[in-house]
Amino acid sequence: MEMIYTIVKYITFPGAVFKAFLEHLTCRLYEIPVEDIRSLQPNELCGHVEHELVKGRKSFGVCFMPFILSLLCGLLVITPATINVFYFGKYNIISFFLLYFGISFFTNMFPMMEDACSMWESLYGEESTASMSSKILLAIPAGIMYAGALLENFGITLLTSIAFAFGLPYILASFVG
Amino acid sequence: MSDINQKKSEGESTDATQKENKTTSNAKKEATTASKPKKTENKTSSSGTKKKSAPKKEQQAKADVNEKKQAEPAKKQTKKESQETASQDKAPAKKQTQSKAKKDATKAEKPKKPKQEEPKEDAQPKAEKDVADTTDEVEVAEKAFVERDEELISQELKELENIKNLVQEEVNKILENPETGDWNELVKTARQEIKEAKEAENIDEDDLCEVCGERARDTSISQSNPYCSECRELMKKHPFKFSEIFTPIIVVAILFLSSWQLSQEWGTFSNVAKAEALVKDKKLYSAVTAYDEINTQLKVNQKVIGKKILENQVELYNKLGAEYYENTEKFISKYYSGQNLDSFSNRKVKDAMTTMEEFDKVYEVVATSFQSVKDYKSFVKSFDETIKKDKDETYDKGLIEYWKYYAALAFEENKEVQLEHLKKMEKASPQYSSLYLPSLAELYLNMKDYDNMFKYCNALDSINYENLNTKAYRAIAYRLQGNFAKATKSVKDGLEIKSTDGNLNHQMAIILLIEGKPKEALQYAKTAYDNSTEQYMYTSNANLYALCAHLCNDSDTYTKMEETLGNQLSNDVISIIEGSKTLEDVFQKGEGDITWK
Repeated sequence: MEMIYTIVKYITFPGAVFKAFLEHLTCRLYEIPVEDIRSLQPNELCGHVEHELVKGRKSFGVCFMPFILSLLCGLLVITPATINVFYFGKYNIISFFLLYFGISFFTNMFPMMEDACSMWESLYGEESTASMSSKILLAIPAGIMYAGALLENFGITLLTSIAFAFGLPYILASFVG
Repeated sequence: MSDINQKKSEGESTDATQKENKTTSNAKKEATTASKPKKTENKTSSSGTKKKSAPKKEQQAKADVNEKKQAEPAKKQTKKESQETASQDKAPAKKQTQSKAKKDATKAEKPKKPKQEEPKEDAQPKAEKDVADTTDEVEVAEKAFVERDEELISQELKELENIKNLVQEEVNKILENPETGDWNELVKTARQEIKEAKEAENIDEDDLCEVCGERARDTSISQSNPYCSECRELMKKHPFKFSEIFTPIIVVAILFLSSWQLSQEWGTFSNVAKAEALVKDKKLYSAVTAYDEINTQLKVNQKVIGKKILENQVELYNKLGAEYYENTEKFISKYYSGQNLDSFSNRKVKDAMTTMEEFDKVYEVVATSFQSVKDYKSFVKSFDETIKKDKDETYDKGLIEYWKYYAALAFEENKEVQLEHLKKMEKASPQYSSLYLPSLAELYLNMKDYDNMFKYCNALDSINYENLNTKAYRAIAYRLQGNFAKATKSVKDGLEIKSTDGNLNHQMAIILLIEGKPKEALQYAKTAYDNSTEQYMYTSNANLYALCAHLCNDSDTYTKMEETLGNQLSNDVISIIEGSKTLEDVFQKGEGDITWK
């Protein structure tokens, strides 16, 4: 599985590098010790930076910040591309270039499994100090990130990203139309 | 241990240097005072030699003046250096060197003693006279020299006094602010270091920091924390790699590119999305209009119309069916000319083309068959023979049945026969639903089979809600059933889609007449009359308008319409005006509308 994971990371290297950068940036913001910042390495750390495992509020932030930034950047990059390719049927180099970048951002937007587990433990674990309102409010993003981290372990996020890219213009059209 | 010793020794050395400072300053004082008598000695020696060998002395004195002039810049430099060193650092060692420099400077300042020559005892008396003359001159010269020498010496003394004062000031400053605070700090940190070093000697390998491997892990943060506090602090500020700096730059550039492209495409996307929403809402006529606008807009902006947009329109025309076959053919020939329709990407266009070609092929046979026949049976016979003769071609069975129905309708054949053909078509060719569904709905209405009529009307609405015929059929059915509320609602639904539709306005006028509102009915009747598109509807609407005008006592309009219609003025209208028939007789019984029989 690690091989598939690494292959997917290398295929979608722009997203992997960007995700690692965002993770590093978040660690700097939250003052989390970072040990290794190599974003492309043939192991489970590929596309991530090795940092200290954190608990409490920081554990959600370190997962959510890179996730939301990757998601927003991915959405902005992929939208014109997917409109052109999948909705208009207009095929050009720029559209395919943006489509690749967008898919790579989406593929790598989820946190590492360890971080996701730590976040989940901090929110819903036995020793959790989170308030009930935070538990309710953060349930959806935390659930998405946890599920995404699980899928990313098996390289499935590449497929989900392609599917999302295909469906995105139709989702948008349902709001615009 | 060595550190603390070192620091202690450093501390001691600072005290010692302070003491040394004091002693050196005293020494400097001594040095400066010692330099004074030397210079006075020098002075006296120079005056002592003034009577002996005056010319040589004069030469020597000149040489001394030159030497002093040369020594002056050196003096100034040493003075400068001594001032700098005195102000820059309070360190005693430096002060030592400073005092040394001053001593050197004072040595350098000392004028060199001119060499004295022994007087010659055997000099001649003439020469003595000359000597006596010259001695006066020499005395004057010596006086001038001594005065100059004294001036120089006094300047030197002043400079030395300044240096002395400067050193004294520095010494006073040091004495006023002893560095005991810094010392305490040093002792404290040294103690801490000793403590840590002692601890480090007893640390297990597992408790060592993962990064430095020297210090103990900082377990105050958490028991599992693998780093020492120093390494942890450093790791919190792990620097970005040089290559990492490019990542946000590239991403921002890509974001700009995508934003630009999005701004270019958003307008078209929005319009296409709206057109597709109309297709989803089964408002196919509106969708056609929306797509026409998109095509025009893209053509004006010289933009490429995407393949998918074209495909969507072909699909839309296909849904609209037979009534849009002409438009579909034009569209395909315009946008797909020169393209290979057999390719997989054009499969939908190919399907639409095949459906239309099948229709046209059968229509050509029908056209020739109609030319030579006078009734339904002869048409069927001729039509079947023509199809059987042409063995190379295969004709769509559903379409054959449709044209047979059409002949039955045209030659006013039995309704059951018509229905039989339509039912066969429904089974054989469901793709031609645009042909048989409206025909079946109308046939069931004429047969007063309202349930089936409603069923086919609903089927038609599920394809295209903007089909106004279904609204009119329902209105007629409800009116004949006496349900005016539902009839009115059905008409209003239709009028919301197209307020000027002739048939719907006609139906509304009838309902209002029956309800006893002739004035309101007159407005609808007029709109229906003004918007009549077919000859059949024109006559019907004109008769209704005339009737409404008469019932509203609008004799001018009635007379005008009577003249316009001539012999086409319906007997039903005349009967109602004469009073032989009521409105209910005409509009709720029989055909349910004005007839010409």
